[in-house]
Amino acid sequence: MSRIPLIIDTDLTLDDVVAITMLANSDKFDIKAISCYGEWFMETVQLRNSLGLGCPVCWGAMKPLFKAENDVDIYISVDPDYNDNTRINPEDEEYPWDKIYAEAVKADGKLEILTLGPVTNIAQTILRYPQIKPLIKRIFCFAGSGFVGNVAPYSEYNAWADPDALKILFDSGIDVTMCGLDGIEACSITAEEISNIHPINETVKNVLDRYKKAADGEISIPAAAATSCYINRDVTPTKEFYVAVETKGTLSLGQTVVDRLGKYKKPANIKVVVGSNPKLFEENLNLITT
Amino acid sequence: MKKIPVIMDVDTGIDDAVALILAMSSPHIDLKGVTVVAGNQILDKTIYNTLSVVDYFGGGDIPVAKGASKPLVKELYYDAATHGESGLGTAQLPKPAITAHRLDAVDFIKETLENSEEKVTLVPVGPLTNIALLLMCYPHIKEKIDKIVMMGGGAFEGNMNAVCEFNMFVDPEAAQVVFDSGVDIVMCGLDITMKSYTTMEDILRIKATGTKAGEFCAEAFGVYYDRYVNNSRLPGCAVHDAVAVTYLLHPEWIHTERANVKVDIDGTETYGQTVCDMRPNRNRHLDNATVCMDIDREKFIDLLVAACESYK
Repeated sequence: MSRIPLIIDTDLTLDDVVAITMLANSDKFDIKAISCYGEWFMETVQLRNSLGLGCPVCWGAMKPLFKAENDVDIYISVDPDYNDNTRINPEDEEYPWDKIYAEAVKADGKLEILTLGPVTNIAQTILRYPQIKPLIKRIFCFAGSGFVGNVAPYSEYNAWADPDALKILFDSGIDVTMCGLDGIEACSITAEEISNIHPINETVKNVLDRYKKAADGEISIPAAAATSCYINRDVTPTKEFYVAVETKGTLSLGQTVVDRLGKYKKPANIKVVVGSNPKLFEENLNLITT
Repeated sequence: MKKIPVIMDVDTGIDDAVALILAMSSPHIDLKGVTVVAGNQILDKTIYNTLSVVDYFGGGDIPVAKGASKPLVKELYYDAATHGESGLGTAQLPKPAITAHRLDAVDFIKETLENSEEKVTLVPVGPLTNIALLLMCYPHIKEKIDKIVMMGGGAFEGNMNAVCEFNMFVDPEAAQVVFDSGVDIVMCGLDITMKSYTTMEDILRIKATGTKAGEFCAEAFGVYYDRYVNNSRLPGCAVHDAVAVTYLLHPEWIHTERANVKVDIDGTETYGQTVCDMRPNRNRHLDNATVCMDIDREKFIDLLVAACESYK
């Protein structure tokens, strides 16, 4: 079976490190590039090098499309002792929009994109190369929520951080799947279960230790759970809905309004993950285990 | 059970009429007055309907006071498609013999509460314009309010669009004033009221009571029922406003969650949404409302039937 050409877009939060490690160790994907949102380019290069991936790391948007910069501090660096910053790929630092478009043309309609952070890079790609739309097979986003949020009552961080970009993506006509917080709810794990994981490398170990320390009952490694849904996307249950993104409201900024009851009478624009399988998540965690 | 002193604020309205009938039939509610706002229909019609219902089913000695004819900021949006041109569907009531109180709604509530020795529960089931004006202009009156048990909003459901309920849609700014007021609020939103539906079988039970209340409710439900069954996923029509009165009488039938509730007044997709913060890690000291989520529907229907029966 030929590997699926994939571009991963990340803002390298803790959970993204686990997610990218999972994907790097899966034999299903041919990772064509990792595109970065925000300031963690060098750390992403280090992660790429430590995983033995040959793909370029592309440094993209540093701030949301239109809204003010997000003043949050939720990022970490990778293994502090690992400082191989070699730009092993001549395409490192190429802009994501140029790289994504080039790969989409090359892959002849088979390219898939997985987003783990704010989707600014992808929105900029669509704005810069509108002709890319029919060339992308699928974009799978870890973003949003159909019910309860995290940074606001109904808003999830990745959607909130650049709601305008997410709206551009949802309204693009591309085959988009939104995997929100409600979609991955079933994939929480306990501190004990985390302790049973033998991390594949120091970076993953550091990340899991951080999660363990913060653990208070059930904990979620959200980008990893969403990535598990992506890896098993053929069996991940989704429903087609019209989903609007709130781009203005003070209280509701970044809310992904899932029109479950068809109130807007608009055709569905995306697929929404409506459940996830903890068993498959457990299996996929083997990809980060020795 | 001690009688609960109550003032209702209505925009009568089919389900408002049922809520009034339920409240006026209960020996446990001391209905000190009814104030009226524009919403389901224009104010001329909601005041006429309220006078008719209170006169016909309440014996006519309950004061009815006229309130705001339009929302605080928006123009009035009303719903003739659901409640009919008169506001009461195809039901007919005798011309009321009573007239509106000399005071307007805000002054009426203010005076009644100032003169009351005990705290009074406000039960607004329409747009919150009157209540917002009261709380804005006479904040001292808050200490005489026991709580506000209101119908409106929804934590995870809308009816005007995916996230906004009708009463919030009509006057979101007023709703924000009320939720921001510091008064304890019980919110009966679509999360519970869409679970409090009345099937055709239930309507036939209500009609079979043979009382004037049963006849009226069954007739008023006619077109309203059809509209619900055709336009929603429900096997019946939601009697939203009666749920707020039911909370007063039987809170034990109702499952609730505490939340911090604010109203979205500047969103594009979310204008008028009741933003209910139920995140487990929220600051619970900021919780300002009890949000009703589910109800024992069978008991609710039995209560409506018993209320109609009491008019024998």
